[in-house]
Amino acid sequence: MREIWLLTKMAFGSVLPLNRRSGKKWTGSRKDGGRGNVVWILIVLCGIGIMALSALYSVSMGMVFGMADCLSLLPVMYVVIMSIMILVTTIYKVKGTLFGFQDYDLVMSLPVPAWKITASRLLILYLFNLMITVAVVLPANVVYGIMAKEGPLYYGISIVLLIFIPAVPMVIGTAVGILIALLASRFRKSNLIQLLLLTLVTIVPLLLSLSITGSEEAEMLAAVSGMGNMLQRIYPPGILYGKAIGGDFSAMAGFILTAAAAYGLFAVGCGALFRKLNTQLLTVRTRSDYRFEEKQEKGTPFLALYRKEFRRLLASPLYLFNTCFGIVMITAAAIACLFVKPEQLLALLELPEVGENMAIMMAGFICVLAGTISTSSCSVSLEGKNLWILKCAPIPAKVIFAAKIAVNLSVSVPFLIVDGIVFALILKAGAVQTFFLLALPIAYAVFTAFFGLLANLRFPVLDWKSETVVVKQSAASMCGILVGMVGGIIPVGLVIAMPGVNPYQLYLGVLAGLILAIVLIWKYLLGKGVKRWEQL
Amino acid sequence: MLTIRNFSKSYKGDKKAVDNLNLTVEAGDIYGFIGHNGAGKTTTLKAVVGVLDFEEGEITIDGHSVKKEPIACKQVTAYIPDNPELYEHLTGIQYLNFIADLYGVTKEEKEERFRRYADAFELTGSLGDLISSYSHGMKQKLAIISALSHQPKLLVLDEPFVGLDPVAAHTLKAIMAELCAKGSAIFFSTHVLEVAEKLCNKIAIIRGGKLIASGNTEEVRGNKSLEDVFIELAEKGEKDF
Repeated sequence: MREIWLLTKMAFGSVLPLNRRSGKKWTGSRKDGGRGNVVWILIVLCGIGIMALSALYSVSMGMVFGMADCLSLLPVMYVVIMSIMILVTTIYKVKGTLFGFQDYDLVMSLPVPAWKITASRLLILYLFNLMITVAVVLPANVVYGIMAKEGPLYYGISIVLLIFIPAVPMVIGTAVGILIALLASRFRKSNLIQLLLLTLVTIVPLLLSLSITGSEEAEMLAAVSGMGNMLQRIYPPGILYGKAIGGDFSAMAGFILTAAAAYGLFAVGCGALFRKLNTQLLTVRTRSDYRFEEKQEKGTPFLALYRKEFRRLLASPLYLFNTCFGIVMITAAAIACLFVKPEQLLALLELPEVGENMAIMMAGFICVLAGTISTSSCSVSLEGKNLWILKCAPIPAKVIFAAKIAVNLSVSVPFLIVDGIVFALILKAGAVQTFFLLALPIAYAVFTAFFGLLANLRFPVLDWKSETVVVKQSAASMCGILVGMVGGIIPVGLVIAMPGVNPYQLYLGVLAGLILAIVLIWKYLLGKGVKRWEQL
Repeated sequence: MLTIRNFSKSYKGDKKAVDNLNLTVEAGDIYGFIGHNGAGKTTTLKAVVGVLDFEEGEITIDGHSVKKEPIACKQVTAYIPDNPELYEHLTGIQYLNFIADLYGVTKEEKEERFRRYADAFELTGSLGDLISSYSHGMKQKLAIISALSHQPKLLVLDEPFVGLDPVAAHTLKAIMAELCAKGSAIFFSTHVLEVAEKLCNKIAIIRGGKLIASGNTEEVRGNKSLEDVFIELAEKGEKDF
């Protein structure tokens, strides 16, 4: 166990800034220690935010479930949703955590059996998933406990069960992730194949979930009443969880045993194949048959940087999915609009229809997601050990910045235009509404691209060993997405908070504010931003 | 071509990594920069090529100040680090095109130089493969080819022979000599004293961040081998410092 724990601690240290806090133990620079503190503060703030949102959502869901006389389904629903989230997100994490991690050669050369290395890598996945599970499920359990007037036994049982929730979905997610990676590794363009498969496993459940939603209250209640069967179909262990949390000790034992057995068996099985799977996944296909037959073309420095940035984005499914997930969601919503009534979609998104201003509310919804499309917030950090190439190149920093922003806009703006037109056509939007459906989300996308770069120049992480550190856990990526998302809520928030004011005027004000912010950020980038770049 | 005047560099308040260094590399020079591990060689090279910011001293390349006119300096310089970390998501040919485009190399020049140097380093066949599939030596060769693609006036190399096979090392030496014959200058660090002795017309020895000897190779070594001089100066230096 000591070896497993040591390996886990070492790997955890490479993805979380465990050693980077200003304090007695930190002997590095105050600046680096400060950056570590910022990451920790952001992690804690994110955790508190998720817990608050989960509590709020469970109160509203609890009331709907109470009306349908099936309040006991609330914790089960949370566990099922959480399990699906863990399953999907684990699929992305497999490569880089369990397989293809950077210090693989070093770890495998240690005198430690392969199954212990596997167990430690699985433990890392498990601990990350457990943190998210606690943030999401714990508040829901407390809300349910209060609403259902449960006693201390309930709280005790729910805490014990909490520990075992991530195991089964994590094992399934890992298995799917391995299969996708193995399948993709058979092709020359393995990253592209992996990307397509990952998109498929993400979008299909999303579209399916949209197809089972009703908008009317009666439909909602009927849907809630039928949810028990649905949950059983989707995730059978959820039913064991439901019974266990109600005080059924045999169900509790069943849930715990299922989780422990899944984890144990998978660790042993995976351990036996660990070396073989890693060799297969780490092997890069080569042709070694290049000939100078194609003519070389002359390109501009901007174009060269743009191409390089774009290829970087496409080469990493983790980077692409985490920074561009908003596009997937907006496009999925646009596709769903072709099959589902827009009213149903707005009800699902919990947005009021505001009379004839459905297009206006939809524009607000798109803004929230457009604010999360931030490839630029990781783009400086991802230079990592390659930074010397750009630092030596005879290129002004502003051209490098422009290329990074241009890539961000290339992945957001075309989708926002097409999706905006689809929404405008379906919602039968007028000229002004269409303008806002297009202009406001695009303005948010531009703002996010500019702000992301600023955030990354403020909080760069260049000494990373795993892309996960930059893409998922860095202060810059969290800042980029949080500011974009919270900023994106402003238009809808203003419309809801100020029902007496013309929403067009509100949106116009937000648009003007965004343009001003973009200009100010660009000026900052050309001044202090360039200096920060030079100091990297 | 390269002038370093009173250059000093410290890291985060610690003692100086380089202390008041003065050095001149002229066009046509193959200048060897020798020193033990941590002597300040890489710090100096990085400051010259603009990777490292510095406060004290002045460095000029081809008459341009590294601090005041960095772009003009970089346009005529090429740098190859000791461990070339390249963009692993690009193929070899994509990387070469990327670097050449940054330096504004024409397509005719690209075609001629890529072909010539890739053939010389026996890397042509692998140019279509991802850099992530390359060995350390192949990455080193690719970095050298990319550096030569714009025919720099000043070529700065950090331990260029580490990781290269004997044939590639021989090829590099020939290319270095050819480049200098055309009027370029080469400034490189090395631990391999035999190479420095045979290849360089000028040598500088650095210890503890201070320059302890510099000048024409013959003058520095006198009638001894470079290895004897280096060890002698290092021991003497240890007493001094």
